[in-house]
Amino acid sequence: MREIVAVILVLISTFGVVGGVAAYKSAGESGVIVVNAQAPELGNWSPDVIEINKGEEVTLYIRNRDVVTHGFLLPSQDILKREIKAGQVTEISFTFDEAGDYPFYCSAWCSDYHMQMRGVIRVR
Amino acid sequence: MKKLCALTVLLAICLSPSFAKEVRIDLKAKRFSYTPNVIRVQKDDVLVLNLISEDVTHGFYLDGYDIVASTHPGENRQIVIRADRAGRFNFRCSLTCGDFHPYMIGYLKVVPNTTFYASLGLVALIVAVSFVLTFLKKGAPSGKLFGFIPMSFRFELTKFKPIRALFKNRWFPLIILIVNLFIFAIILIAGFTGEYSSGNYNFGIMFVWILWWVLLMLVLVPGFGRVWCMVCPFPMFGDWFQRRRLFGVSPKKPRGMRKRWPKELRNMWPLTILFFVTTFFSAFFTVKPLATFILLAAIILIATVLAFIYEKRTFCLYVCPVSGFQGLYANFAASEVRVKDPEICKKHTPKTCVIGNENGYGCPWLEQPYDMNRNTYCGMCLECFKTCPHDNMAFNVRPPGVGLLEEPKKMAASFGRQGMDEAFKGMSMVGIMIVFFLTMQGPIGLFKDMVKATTLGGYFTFLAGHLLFTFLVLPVVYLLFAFLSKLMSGSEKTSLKEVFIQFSALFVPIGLAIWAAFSVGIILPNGSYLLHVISDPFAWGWNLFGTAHVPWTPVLTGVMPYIQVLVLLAGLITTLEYGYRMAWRLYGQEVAVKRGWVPIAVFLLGIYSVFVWLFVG
Repeated sequence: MREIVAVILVLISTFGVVGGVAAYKSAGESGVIVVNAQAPELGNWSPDVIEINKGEEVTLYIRNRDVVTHGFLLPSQDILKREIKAGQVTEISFTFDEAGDYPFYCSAWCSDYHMQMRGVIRVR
Repeated sequence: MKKLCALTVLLAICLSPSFAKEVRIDLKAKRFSYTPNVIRVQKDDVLVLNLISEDVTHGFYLDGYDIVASTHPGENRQIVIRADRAGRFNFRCSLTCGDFHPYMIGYLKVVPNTTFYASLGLVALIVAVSFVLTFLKKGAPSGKLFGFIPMSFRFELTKFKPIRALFKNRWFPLIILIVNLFIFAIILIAGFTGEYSSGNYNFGIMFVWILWWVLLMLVLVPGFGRVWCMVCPFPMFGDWFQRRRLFGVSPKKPRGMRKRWPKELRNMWPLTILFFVTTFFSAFFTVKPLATFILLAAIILIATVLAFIYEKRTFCLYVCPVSGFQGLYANFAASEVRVKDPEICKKHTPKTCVIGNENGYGCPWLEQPYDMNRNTYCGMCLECFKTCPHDNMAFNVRPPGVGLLEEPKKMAASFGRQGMDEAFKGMSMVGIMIVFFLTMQGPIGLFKDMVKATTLGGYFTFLAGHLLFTFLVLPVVYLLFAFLSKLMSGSEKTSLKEVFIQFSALFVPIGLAIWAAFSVGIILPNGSYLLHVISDPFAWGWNLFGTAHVPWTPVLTGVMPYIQVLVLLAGLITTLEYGYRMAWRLYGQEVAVKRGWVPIAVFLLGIYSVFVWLFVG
């Protein structure tokens, strides 16, 4: 009996944790757009063109996969996340009512090519 | 009126005791060092720094002065500092600028560096007082440490019934192991998902290299020896496979090939070499989450695979990279597992602590608990408390360091233990600490580029330098003093090898002192990262405990140098106390002892002075 309890505890604290985390992660990422942030010479925003529909609320999961701090600036929506630390995820939501191309930028000086770290939200 | 004002100002300036001058310096920050990396000013000077970034956004935090600033490329940030505290202060980057960000450090030396001179003076004074005391005293040292702590003092914790009952319960330490398994599962996930990003906000990196390592070096090893081995979750799967049971004791024969580890390798050499090789990659393990994941996963995998092939805890005894220094330093620890009454053991056959019974397994660490006198290879798994039918095992608190004076047993000699292997383990830990200090807490950017393999040539230079210093320069310098000791003692019957091995035990208190001082330099500036990672272990923006937004906050950096010096001085006093006793054990005759002790004390004076210089000079 105690043997079974011990085995269950071990399974929970290993596979249970891993499975729980994986399930939580996939649930959290469904219905959102994952955007990876890396300095321009390492890959830039990826994807750097995000296509969305007019009038639809969109959630971006911005994930900094880099070694330096990045930021996220979307001037058309007045959104500024000044600091997304290396390895961290930031979540933002917005709705566009008019079609068009809206640029977004990195707001932290992340590399020599920092000024080229930009992407576009394409609203249809 | 204007004239009067001007006159007052002029008068004030002329009358002020020291004419404070202004020092202007352009401080250029570039990953991962500052130029100039060492700034020297007179006390009370006004330092005007013009902080310039040459690549990404960098920060500036000055220890002891609690000044924070930051700058973008293209921007000039002026920082004005009145240097009213003398001493050496680190300035560090305060904004994550890359993987090596936590190691981006420069020194501000406000001279005269009174802390340094006072510390050096204290080192010299302590050695001098020790000399006077030892030379005045006739005969062998008393059985009391520092004249008042009896070396034979033992306080048995297991005489309290609840503690003994706990130690005999099979849930203990299993339940702590399961909790650790849970924590390490999170560490592994955080390491895996953290990929190549900087590790300073990563749960895995922070828990392993800030919390675990510092706990180990500051508390666990000096206090309780191998207590980490008691709760380490890595060999658990191997144990489970071999024993067939996780909780209970199976009456069946253990599973696996149960091979014996080669006799020639049943000592500290494999551990010394494996840990040394691990340090070749310290620049990756301590900053890249994925590298920490790979290291831990490899250890778990190797531990499990070796459990299929070799008997019992062969992995822990002879392969685990962090086993060696824990085993060696455990001899200093303030606690021990020993028998209470050897007479009971003599009459007791068969020895259930070795072969096991229905209550527990025979010693998984291949010790003979009934006859054990050193902590080195005792993993504190507590199986012997469970298997002993006479409750003859004890968990004792003892004065720190007394284990260093234990005589080796025959078995140790036959495996080549407690000889050259431990001498070189002790010395390699000193060499490794110096390399860690230079790359992680020193101001020289070149060293950082070398260890992080910016260029292949630089990396190989680092490997060669690390190897040469640790296994050639340091041993040769020490050998020279050992040779002088033998020469001055005039002892014919003592061989140089015996002298070399005997005093090499002093690298244990030396090592503990310098690693403790080094650990203080990790936890005080960077401990606040832990608050962040416990609230947001997977970097998903969680805030479990409300501490996710605590910024990087160095604490007590103003008193940090004093703490480090105090730790070193405590180490020096302890080293001298045990060193002289070792001289007696080695030479045996008063004249030979006192003369032979002189070169060793001079060696200690030198080595501690070097470390005082490294930490505060």
